[in-house]
Amino acid sequence: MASSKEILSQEFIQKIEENSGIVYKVAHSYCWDSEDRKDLIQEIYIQAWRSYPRFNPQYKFSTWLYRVALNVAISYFRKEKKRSDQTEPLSGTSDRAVEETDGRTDQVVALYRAISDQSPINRAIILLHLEEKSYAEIAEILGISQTNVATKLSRIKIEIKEKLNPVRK
Amino acid sequence: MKDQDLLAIWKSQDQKIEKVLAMNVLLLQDQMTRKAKKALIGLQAEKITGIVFGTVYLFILGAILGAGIKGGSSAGNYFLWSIAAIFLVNLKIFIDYVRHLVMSLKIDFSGPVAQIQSQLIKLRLSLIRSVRYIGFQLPFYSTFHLHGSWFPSEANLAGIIIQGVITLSFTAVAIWIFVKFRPENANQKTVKWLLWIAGIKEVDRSLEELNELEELKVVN
Repeated sequence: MASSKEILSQEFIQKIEENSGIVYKVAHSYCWDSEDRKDLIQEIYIQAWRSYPRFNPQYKFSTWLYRVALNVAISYFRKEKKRSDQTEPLSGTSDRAVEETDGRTDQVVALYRAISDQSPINRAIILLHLEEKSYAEIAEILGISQTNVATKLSRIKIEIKEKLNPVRK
Repeated sequence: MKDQDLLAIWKSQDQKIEKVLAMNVLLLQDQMTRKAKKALIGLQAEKITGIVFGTVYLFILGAILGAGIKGGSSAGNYFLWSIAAIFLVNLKIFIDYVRHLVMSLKIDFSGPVAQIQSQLIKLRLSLIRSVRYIGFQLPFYSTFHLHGSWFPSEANLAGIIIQGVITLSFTAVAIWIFVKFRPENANQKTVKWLLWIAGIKEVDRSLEELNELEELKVVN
């Protein structure tokens, strides 16, 4: 007979599998180095598993997972940024130097590159928009107002389109 | 470029993502075992420090013991017997420190989780067992100042009573540690702190990381 913990982990794995694209996309938006990205993905899974007992089933799992993943990714990004600011040995080298495409098309890579030029919060906004979340959902996940989402999003889209245009020519 | 173009580019990656995600459970296992391994580093550092200081302490005790044996008779020589007993107990602790360090270094964290857990549990049980013997040196710290030429023949009653109380108290503590420090009592407050000093905390943390992994893997 399955214990309550086993049932919980069964539920968790099933839900994670159904929504695993979320973690992948968040990790790629915040991390270019493949080794660091693996660490970030696992950190997101670990934090999600630890927080799962507090998940309220009344809400959508994907919304909850976005919140956990973005929180972990933003913290990770800031920590890494701080670390690289302190230890950056050579001028002119950036995380782009170790960028890996994972077989993605040039357009997708260019899109991720354009996203990564945004601030951590703006990255979250555009990511959620591309995932076709409504303004209300984006506002709920990020804890900001819908007006703020709308204002920021329109500016982010303009900047991203400007950066992508040369690629599409 | 229109908004729809952006969305189309974004969606074009979905098929690729599905393939990549099949690796996630493996990555998770790798990450968890790495964390479990990291948790043991504290224990290893502690054991290495213990071995360094233990070597110095045993060398000093051995030198005193050697000089004592060379210089006088062992009959009625409380000092010599006390130092010998303290030396033997510390030698046993020292050997345990080396054994535990070797055991922790031998754990292959790239192996199956059940196997790692079994090795960690063996290490945990061995750590608890070794703590049981630590107390045996205590009574001898209260006797090495005595000498057969005046104790107990020339000591006054009060002195004998005070000496008896101190030595018996130390003996009681040693017996209490020996009896109480068993795996089944490891979670009791009075026992826990001494076991933590012995390195149980790191082993438990390592086991905890692996247990989390097991819980996640249980349905796969």
